[in-house]
Amino acid sequence: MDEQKMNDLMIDYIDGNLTGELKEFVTKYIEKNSENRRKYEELKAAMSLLEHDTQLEPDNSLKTDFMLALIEEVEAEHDRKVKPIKKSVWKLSPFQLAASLALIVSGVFIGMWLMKADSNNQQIAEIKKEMEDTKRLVIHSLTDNSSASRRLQGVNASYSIGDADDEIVNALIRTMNNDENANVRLAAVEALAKFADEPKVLNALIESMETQADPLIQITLINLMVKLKEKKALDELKRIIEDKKTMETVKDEAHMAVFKLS
Amino acid sequence: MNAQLKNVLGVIVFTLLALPTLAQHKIAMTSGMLELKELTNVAVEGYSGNEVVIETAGSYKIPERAKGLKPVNGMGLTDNTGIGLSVKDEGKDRKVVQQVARNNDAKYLIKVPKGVKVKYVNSSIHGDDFQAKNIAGEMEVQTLGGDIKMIDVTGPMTVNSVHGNVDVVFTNVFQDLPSSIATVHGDLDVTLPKSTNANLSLATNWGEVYSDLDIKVENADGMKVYGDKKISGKLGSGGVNLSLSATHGNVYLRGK
Repeated sequence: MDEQKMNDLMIDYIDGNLTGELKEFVTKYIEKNSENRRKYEELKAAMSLLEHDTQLEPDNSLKTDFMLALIEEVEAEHDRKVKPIKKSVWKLSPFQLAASLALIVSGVFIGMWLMKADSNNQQIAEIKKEMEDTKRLVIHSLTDNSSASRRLQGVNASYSIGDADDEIVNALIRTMNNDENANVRLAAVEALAKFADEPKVLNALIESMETQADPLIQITLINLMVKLKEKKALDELKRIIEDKKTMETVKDEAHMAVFKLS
Repeated sequence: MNAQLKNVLGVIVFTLLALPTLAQHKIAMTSGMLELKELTNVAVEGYSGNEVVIETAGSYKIPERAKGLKPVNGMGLTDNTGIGLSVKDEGKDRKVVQQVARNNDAKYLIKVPKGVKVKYVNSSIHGDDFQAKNIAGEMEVQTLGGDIKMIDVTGPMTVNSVHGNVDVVFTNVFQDLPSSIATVHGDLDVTLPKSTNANLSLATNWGEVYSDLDIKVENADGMKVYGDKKISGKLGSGGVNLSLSATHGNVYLRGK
């Protein structure tokens, strides 16, 4: 049994709340040794003090002494000459003045600079978000099957995203190869032509010549290869010329291109 | 005697006038897309109604022996209109009209309610002309051999042809969505109101561009110009993109 519990039991014992075995147990505990006995006596004394606890009041003499001292002090105060601290801001030394001014001004400037840096960051974040929104819009428009003009608008909007963005480039390549509307495919070829110095885009443009069946797109791609002076397209051009399905007008264009590129 | 003759003549004239209008088919629709697939001779006209009305302007005749039979073709289409056409639903707002009987002289006049998009595709080198008039909605037109004539239209439109000439007269240019018109071997002749605001892109590889409009040509900064003749410029204060291209033909751009 720990000490705290034993103390509680002893308190109950002193209060006369214990009966039977528990009372005997505590009696035995107290009589066991002098140490326990001493504890019991201490507790008992403390408790009897608590029981006889009454309001202690200082006697009246203390109060009279205090009042006398107060009156003395007030009288002494009247005799004293008071010199209040009177130091104007204008009496600060020029150095102190300059230093405090400098502190204020630099504080204002640091504040303004921090705010400006913050708004710059905000602007950058806004522009980034706008770009991301445009990207989503472009990709979403490109898959709108209900309106060819909307898809065309998607292709046109891709111009506002300056650098070749992988997602946009992939979407444009899909449109160039798979869109059912020739005007939309044509616009996609023109948009991709901007990024033709990227190997991935150039390869996609060359590969597209193989699958495009529409003379309008075939001729546009052939002329693009001539403009880019792209010798890598020669094999594909020769295939177009040999292909029985190719229209004569496309073949003529391909012949001209082979002649110019070789 | 004279009055009797007049009456008889009147009846005959009335019957003759009424005959062509008898051969017609109606499709109730006010939105969505009307797709005209491989029809040979078609004129489309916008009107404010709530159904597509297809009329035969020429003569749609079936032989005496075919009475009670329907034309059938290799694409598995059957005439469900009584005028040699098949009309099918494709998805929930697209109607596809296809020609079933090819060996007839029927010319189709199709009235289209406002708000219905029109798509016309003809991939025959012998394809006849396509005509559209008074249409204020979106149009998609593609021909291989046939000419395209569009009068009093606004766009947005995507129009292309390989051998056909394309003539378009705009009442005004729809500003919310872009338009693109391209022909490979034909000439392109476009008329716009002088007050049009648009961002123009004019392209021809082997032909010339002629215009009486005030085009503010821009130097294409940061853009690679790959066509031998590609002109980018603004009409008025600029606006929606309008792309006109004739690879081998000329581009005529007129103000009105």
